[in-house]
Amino acid sequence: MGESSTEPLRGTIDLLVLKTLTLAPMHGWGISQRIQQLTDGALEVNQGSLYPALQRLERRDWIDSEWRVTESGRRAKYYRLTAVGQRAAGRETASWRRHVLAVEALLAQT
Amino acid sequence: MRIYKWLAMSLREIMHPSDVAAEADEEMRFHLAMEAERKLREGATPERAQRDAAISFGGVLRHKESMQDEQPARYLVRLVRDLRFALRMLRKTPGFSIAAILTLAVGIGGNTAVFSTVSGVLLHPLPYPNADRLVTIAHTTKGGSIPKNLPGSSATYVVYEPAKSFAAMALYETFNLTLTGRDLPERLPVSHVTQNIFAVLGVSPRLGRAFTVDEDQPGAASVVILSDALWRRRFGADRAIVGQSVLLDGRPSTVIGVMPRSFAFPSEDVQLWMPMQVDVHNLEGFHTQSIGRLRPGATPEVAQRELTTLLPRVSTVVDFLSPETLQGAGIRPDVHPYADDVVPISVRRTLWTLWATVALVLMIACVNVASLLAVRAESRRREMSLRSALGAARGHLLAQSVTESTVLVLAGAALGVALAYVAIAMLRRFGADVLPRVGEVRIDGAVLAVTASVAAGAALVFGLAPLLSHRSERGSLVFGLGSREGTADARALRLRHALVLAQVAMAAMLLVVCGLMLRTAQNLTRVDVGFRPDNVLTFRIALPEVSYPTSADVAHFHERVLARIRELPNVVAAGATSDLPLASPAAPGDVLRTDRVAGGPSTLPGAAEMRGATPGYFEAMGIPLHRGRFLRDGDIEPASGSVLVTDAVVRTMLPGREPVGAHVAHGLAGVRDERSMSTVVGVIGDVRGSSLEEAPIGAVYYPMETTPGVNMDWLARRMSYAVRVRSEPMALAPSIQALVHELDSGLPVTEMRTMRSIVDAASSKTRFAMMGLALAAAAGLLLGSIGLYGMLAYATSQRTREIGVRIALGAKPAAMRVSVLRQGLALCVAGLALGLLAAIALRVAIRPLLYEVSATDPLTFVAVAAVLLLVGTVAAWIPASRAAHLDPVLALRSD
Repeated sequence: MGESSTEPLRGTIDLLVLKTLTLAPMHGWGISQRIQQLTDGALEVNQGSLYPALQRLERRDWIDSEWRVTESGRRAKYYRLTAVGQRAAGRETASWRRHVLAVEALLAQT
Repeated sequence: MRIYKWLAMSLREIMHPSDVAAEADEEMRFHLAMEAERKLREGATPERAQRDAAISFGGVLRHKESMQDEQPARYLVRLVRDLRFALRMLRKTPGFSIAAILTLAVGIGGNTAVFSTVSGVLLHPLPYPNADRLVTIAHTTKGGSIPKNLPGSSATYVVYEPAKSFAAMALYETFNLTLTGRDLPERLPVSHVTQNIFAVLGVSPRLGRAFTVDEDQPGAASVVILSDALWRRRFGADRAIVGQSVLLDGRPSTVIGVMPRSFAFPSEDVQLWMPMQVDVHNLEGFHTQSIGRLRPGATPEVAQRELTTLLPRVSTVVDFLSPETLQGAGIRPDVHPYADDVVPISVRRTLWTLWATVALVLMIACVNVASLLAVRAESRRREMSLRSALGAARGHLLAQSVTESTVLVLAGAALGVALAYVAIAMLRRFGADVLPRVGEVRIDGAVLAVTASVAAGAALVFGLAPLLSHRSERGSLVFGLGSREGTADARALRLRHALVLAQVAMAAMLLVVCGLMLRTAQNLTRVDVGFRPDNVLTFRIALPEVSYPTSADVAHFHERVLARIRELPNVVAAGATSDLPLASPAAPGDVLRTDRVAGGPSTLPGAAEMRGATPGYFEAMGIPLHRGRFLRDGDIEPASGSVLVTDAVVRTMLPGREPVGAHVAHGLAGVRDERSMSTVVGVIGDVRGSSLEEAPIGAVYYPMETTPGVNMDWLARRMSYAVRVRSEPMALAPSIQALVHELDSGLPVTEMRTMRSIVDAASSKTRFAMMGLALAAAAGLLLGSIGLYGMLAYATSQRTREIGVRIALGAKPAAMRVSVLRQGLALCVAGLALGLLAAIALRVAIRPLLYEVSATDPLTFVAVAAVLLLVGTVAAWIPASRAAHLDPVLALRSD
């Protein structure tokens, strides 16, 4: 845990990506930037786990991808939440909250 | 929806892996560029920005790999990659690939074809419900003047009736009858059965009905059931045939039903079934086939014990079978599975042998491919070492190797199954005469499953084997030095030697078996057929009842034709017969009984063929007279009752008696009826009637349509002529055509051919059966020699450096040649000895298949040894002379 405290917890990356994409479609680099911004740099997503996660989510049909041209004129692969992903994001968020509350409750006891 | 997405992605990854990779690349590049721009904005120099971006991003390759791991079909993708690589490797060495695939195709194809035959003929249950409960009720005797094996009889049918082990019992007996009508007369095998036969077998007619009990009573109106094939062929599948009348041997018979297509009882050639109409007041001895259905739970042994207690009662129902006669003959019931009779033991043995042979071929093929792969693995040691050193996982190298061999085996198996389909189509087309149940032979799921498991086993072994020799190389970076080692790795060498040894030994065994079979086939073609087939022209004329209504008309026509033929130039003799030897399928012998002589042995009936002949026939065929006289013109006079019998009849039925003057009676008419007896006027030599390999069964020749009590009309209506000439027989054909046309212009002369061609055709049946073995032998020899040559050539090339060193140190080239030759021949001789010893050990299994040849026939053994030594010498000679002419400088530089 100690070595990279900005690395998100294992298993939360999917939730972070989904949450980020609920705002607007975004490319891979944008997603990593957005996560960093939104968490004030507390969380930094490693590229090595970001792209596999995107692929995994696309396989599940939670997100969709399409090549578009950015404002700066570059070609980039944009990811967008699907209807299924929309619902999944809600489910995952609720489940995460329950999880956090449970862990909190446990920590408060000791 | 999600499945669709998953499939679409997987498909894309498999079909267009490079597109997917390029896309991932572009995505990574975009990420890097954005990251660098950000650093730039934060004030870094362009170089530094690039560098930092790259560092924070990490290894591009690693990211791409972890992306690949998330690919839905990653295993499939890897498999496809391996497959592509395997195909590329196989394309790079087309000679090797074609050799390996063809070798496997021959091995697997032969096995598939023979196994489907074995499965269809031997392993599948007979096509009757609960076929395992069907048993044959036969009898054994102590032998001597009566046959060792006797069938059932109408007497035992009555006497065994109370047996509790049986649910039902039936009799059957097959004769040829002539079907006449609108078309030309046709002789067809007709099975006479007791009415309960269909209940015993558990099969009903597809059209109409089975026989009733009343129809099976003596004197009942004649009824008949048709086979599906006959119904379609002769009656155009007319459903209204039921209730109509057909003429059988000139007597009307009402069609009451048609059997299903699959019904082939007692054999596939039987076309009609009629009720036997057993007369309980006139029961017969032992000459009728009997079949029974056991009650559930009863075994043949129990049934046999029960019948043994019932047998003595036969004497109470048949007056000529006294208890003394029964006891003297040592008759005992013999109950055995009916399936054993359908496929005779000789056919079983032949099939098992054939299977063993093709299994040997397959093993040789596998050893061959294994050695080819081993050789190739050696030449790819560098590649494997390099890949291993570069970090390729051992598991992946293994998967790659297995993939390559699987591709080979799959191609070989596919080709092999295609070959098997062709072979079986040919077998079904041409093999009906040689093999029972041939119609049931097909490549089905079970056969394919066996083929698939053989192929899978081969693929796995081939894939793993070459890898074993790489194990030592793992980790040691020897791809530079490894292949230059002075001598070959001892373990690999031992493996190769073992492969050569096994190959030679198996080839030797195979060749011995096949050589013995070929000698058998050769002996069969040299068999004494009992007549002189050269210079004889034969043809057939059938006389329709419309234009030749009476027996006298028929006889008169034949007499006129023969008289005119004898006037032709170059004709030595001419005659006609109802059955030319070897020209028609085996007909069952008919019941023959002889008159009793006071104090003589038992009068059990035997079987003999019933034939018609005109005077002149025996002279034309060159059949020798052993006693008495031939038939002559006077014998045609009605009521002369003169007949000829063959040696076999005298041997089995008139032992120790003067045959000339003895009386015989054919068919169902009783011996007690004096009018139906014929007098033997001469004894002629045995003639091979239906096949070359079976010892001739006895025959009685009747002088056409004249014998009282025996209706010869059906024999006479369709006669085959034999004309012996001094010159080329076929030259006479046009004159005969013209002559017959002159007498009756509407009469076709058919089947014009020489007797020699008939004999050749008969031996070609044997050849057909032997052809499989000959093919197996040829395939085995070819594969064996290729393998031997390949291994020796390779072993020598492995010694190139060693030989070079020796020559450089002063060894004489000739000595090197001897050394290599000796090494090769030593292996060859050792393998040969092993194979020949194995063949001798197997002689008990081989012996029953042979005809007048010893299982340890020295000629065969010597020939096999010579052939293999020759092949071995050639195989060793080429690499040996290459070794002798080695330039030491080049050799030392070589890999």
